[in-house]
Amino acid sequence: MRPVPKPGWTASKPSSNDTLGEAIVKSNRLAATLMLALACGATGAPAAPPAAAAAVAPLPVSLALQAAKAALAACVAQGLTVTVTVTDREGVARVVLLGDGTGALSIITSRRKAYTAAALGMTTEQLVKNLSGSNFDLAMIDPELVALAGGIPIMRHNVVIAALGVGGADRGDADVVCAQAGVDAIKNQLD
Amino acid sequence: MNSKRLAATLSIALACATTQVQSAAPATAPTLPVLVALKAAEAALAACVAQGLTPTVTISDREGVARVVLVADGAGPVSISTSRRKAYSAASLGISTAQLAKNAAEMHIVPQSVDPELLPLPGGFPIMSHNIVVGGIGVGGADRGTSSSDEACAQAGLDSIKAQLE
Repeated sequence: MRPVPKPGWTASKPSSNDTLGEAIVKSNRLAATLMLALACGATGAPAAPPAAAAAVAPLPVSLALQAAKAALAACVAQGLTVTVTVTDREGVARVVLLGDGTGALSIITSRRKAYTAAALGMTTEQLVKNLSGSNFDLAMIDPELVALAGGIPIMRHNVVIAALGVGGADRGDADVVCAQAGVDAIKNQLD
Repeated sequence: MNSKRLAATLSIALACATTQVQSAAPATAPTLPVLVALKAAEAALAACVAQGLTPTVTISDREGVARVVLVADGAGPVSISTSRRKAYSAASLGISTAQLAKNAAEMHIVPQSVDPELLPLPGGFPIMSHNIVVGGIGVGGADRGTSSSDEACAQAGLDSIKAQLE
């Protein structure tokens, strides 16, 4: 469920006239940013013992489906055609729903938003904010990562157990609103 | 030689799929709404889960593009690809993947040599509305040895939306 992303789709490629030094500086800064992203993602979470993640149950497909349906319904109610993807904690798609009339790009963006949120443990909206003003190349770390709002991690006991991504709404913050509606639909069932 | 025979077989498969279709205009051809696709997927998954099986269910549109994917708790990665390929095969050829397997065996051909996405294993059915292919359903990962659970679960999914396709 993780096709090879089309090259050059999102983040800028390293410029060919970068010196090696610049490239190293960039990669160091990127590493720092990603560490920051991870730190920010965990802000407010009480320090959990390392073994906790393994002990927290994964998201059952029934709840993943419920969240995906709610996100799709929220967008359809606004006349928006989107794809909704719910991944597990490894970023593998477990539920995919293509709204009627969705385009091919929404399939890719919804998956990558969910993957990114699962991988970093933070919303892709937050990632966009963290990266704003910088020219970090996310693709250098992992071409599947994407800095587009609309991906939200799903947490249980402060551990990432899944993520939901919405792509294709392309109207203001509609992707984010629909994704949040999906996550909200199951939040009372995650404790 | 083989490729000629394969092309002939695929032509036959395609011809079968379009049998009785009276040159319906694409714009007015029936489509498979996502909520109907979702219903079929949920029914297929439930049928398998009720037996303690952990498959992946994929519903594709008539082009073979996955529109609904449900990965059961505990399903492995191979089930994801096989369910997708079964749905794709059934939708693109307009025949069940069991029939495709039978045709391929009889004619000593390997469908994957024409299109590596084709998969001649039981568990895929075309979804028809008014004799037109509107999609495909594929179930993968439920089979244990020689059982035909994939096909039974896919059939359960298909049956659940029969009324909505008329």
